[in-house]
Amino acid sequence: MPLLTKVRQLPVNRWIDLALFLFLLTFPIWQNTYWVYIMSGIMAYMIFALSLDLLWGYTGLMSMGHSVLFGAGGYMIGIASAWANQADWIKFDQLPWFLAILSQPLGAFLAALFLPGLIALFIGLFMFSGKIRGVFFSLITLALAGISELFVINQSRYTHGDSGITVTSRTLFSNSDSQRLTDQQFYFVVLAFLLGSYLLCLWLVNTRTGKVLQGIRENESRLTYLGYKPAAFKLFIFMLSGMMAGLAGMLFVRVQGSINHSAIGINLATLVLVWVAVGGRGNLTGALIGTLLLQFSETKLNSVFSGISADFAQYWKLVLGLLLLLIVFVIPKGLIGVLLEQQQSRQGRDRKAAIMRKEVHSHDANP
Amino acid sequence: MTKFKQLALTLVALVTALGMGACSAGSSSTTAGVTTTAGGSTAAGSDLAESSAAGEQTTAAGSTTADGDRIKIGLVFSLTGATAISEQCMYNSAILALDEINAAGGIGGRQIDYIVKDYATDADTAVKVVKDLILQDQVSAIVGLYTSASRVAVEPVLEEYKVPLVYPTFYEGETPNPYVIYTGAVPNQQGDYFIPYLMDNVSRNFYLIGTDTTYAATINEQAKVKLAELGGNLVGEELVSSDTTDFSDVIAKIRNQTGDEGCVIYANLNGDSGTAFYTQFHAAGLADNYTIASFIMDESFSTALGDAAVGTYACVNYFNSIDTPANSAYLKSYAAEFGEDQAKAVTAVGESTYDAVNLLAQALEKSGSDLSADTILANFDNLTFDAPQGTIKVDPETHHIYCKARIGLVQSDGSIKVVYETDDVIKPEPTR
Repeated sequence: MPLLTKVRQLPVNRWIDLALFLFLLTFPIWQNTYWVYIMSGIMAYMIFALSLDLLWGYTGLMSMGHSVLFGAGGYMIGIASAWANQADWIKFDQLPWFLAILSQPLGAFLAALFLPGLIALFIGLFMFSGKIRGVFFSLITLALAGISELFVINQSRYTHGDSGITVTSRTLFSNSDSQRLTDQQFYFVVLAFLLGSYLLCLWLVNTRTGKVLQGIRENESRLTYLGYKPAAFKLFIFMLSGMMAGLAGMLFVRVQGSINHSAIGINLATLVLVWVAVGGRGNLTGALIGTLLLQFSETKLNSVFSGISADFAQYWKLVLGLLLLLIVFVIPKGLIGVLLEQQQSRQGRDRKAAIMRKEVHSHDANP
Repeated sequence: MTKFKQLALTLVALVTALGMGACSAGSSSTTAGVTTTAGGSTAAGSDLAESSAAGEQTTAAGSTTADGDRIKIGLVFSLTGATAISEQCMYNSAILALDEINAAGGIGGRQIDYIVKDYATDADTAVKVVKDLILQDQVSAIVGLYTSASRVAVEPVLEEYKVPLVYPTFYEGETPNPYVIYTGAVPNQQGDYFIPYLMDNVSRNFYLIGTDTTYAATINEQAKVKLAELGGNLVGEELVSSDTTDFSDVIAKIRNQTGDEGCVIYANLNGDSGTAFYTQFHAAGLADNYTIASFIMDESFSTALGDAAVGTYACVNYFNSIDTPANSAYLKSYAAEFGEDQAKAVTAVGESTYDAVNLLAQALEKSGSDLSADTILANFDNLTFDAPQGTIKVDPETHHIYCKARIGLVQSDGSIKVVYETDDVIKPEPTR
């Protein structure tokens, strides 16, 4: 009985998560290679959205330049791959000392994971010890995204400038050209990482640390009075989120087969904000569903509209834009946010009714 | 309020359902697109007086041949996005060439079906749509792309699934790929003649400005080598970020660093940045002493800029004003299909797209029933085509084209007059 009540009281979004993962697990069975490839990319983006949800949805730190961390992870793999295959544009005989780790296959994996973490640590140290918060945090991260994009374009010696880098190996560790899993095999690699990241997030937000993070979001000053050090918690979550974003970038580059400056710029940073906002912040499911829905409809609308007629092709963005406006205006809490709100108000009503019933009974018992 | 919420939720659910439904119906909707364009082809055919008979033949062939006898190719251009203006002419030229080929009976009796995709000037989208074309539509070849980033990004896909791409844009010639055929000029077919001409006819002083892209950086680097070789004078150099639109400091610098003796401003700036530079340069009244020369100047640019472009130099392998029978035929049918105004803004990339489709059609015809990538690519070797710019030839070693270098001077009506052209076609040297 207690287990059953616990299951019944489980928030509705956990059921959606379950359904989503079952859907993703069976997806390659009934879909062709093209859609498996598209979905692999979307799943990598889902990890990225989860990492932003930890930071924005749970801790209230709205990073408008999260793509910097995503792109940093991706570029590590890109440079490692270009070096391993001696791409034509590489004009140096030796990797510089700060990139030397990329010559090892496992080194590239670790670099893609930890460099974004280090960047987050570095930025975080300055910002959180300087008590920069709210809109200023957002603005500084936004500027960082712009700077990073220019930086990557400028450093063409290592990043091949605005042309970007091709990554022909589709494996987890190896960067050599000949190593290549099929789209289907790599799909399950990405899915495994997505599931892992999701479970990590789910576990984290329900620990004490997770509660403190949500406390920071609600009222940071009060938490300070209670004896917590918000800066340390914020630094921790920024680093963790950065590493997850780096992981997402690494997987995305492998799926896509290339990386260029758009993966590190303001455009992607804005997109991920939109995905999370549309899905709903602070419940993990919103980040997953928002990304899936928007990325899927983007791909679909583009191909449907250019299928109808080439002159018609440009209007799919209009349709998507109108839909986004509608969602933001009508349900600012996001799709999953609304569902949760409804469930909570229903549970609240039920509870109230139960108390009322009890009171009526007790009145009957002792007249 | 809750009613609104329910409405929104239903809407979203509806869109998702539509999307899922279209998942399976995707291929059929593209076929519908192809049929409409095939209808357009007969209309174009009737414009050309001599091909009206061929047009009838087409419809007959179209009704009798089965689907298996058609050849499918993909077209990928930015119909939206930052470079859509430049790519409109490429897209139009591709359609024009395909319609002409289909109206003339297709390839060995087989009609070409084409599927158009928009990559919105985004390299990741380019990869997506190219994979879509290869895996879903199973095209035999792809024509298109403009930005270097998008070309580089799709290369692994081409290699993995073995599909050839015909890339019509002039580019820096840095990393040729075996699965790509290049029908645009590379720097050795432009700059090698541009710099000496400017030194002889304008000034020996050069000021280099470029957008910080691989393309402009490569061109400026090659310009420096050429200047050192010929004893030119490098006055200054400037690389600006691609979204720069305020050039007041650059213009001030030019004024300071160059004397009264005059100077060539060798400016290779992208899109909006280029427009801004020409306009501000003109407004600053510097046109008397200094002359802008640029790789990016073309007819679409010169007509858009008006006065600011007059008297500046351009250098590509094709100008609208070239007087050849092939060019006047091309411009005439272009005007018939898309209007006179559009035909005035036909640019080098548009022309090279026209060449790209025609060369591809020849290669496909030679390949016969074997449409594997290796056969198609091998059949490009030594192909020649009587293009609007003159006869071009595909170099079997590099799969770039032999073409002439031309230098043009912008006239007051926005057209570009050819002031110099090489006697013979030049061998492409992409990696140098």
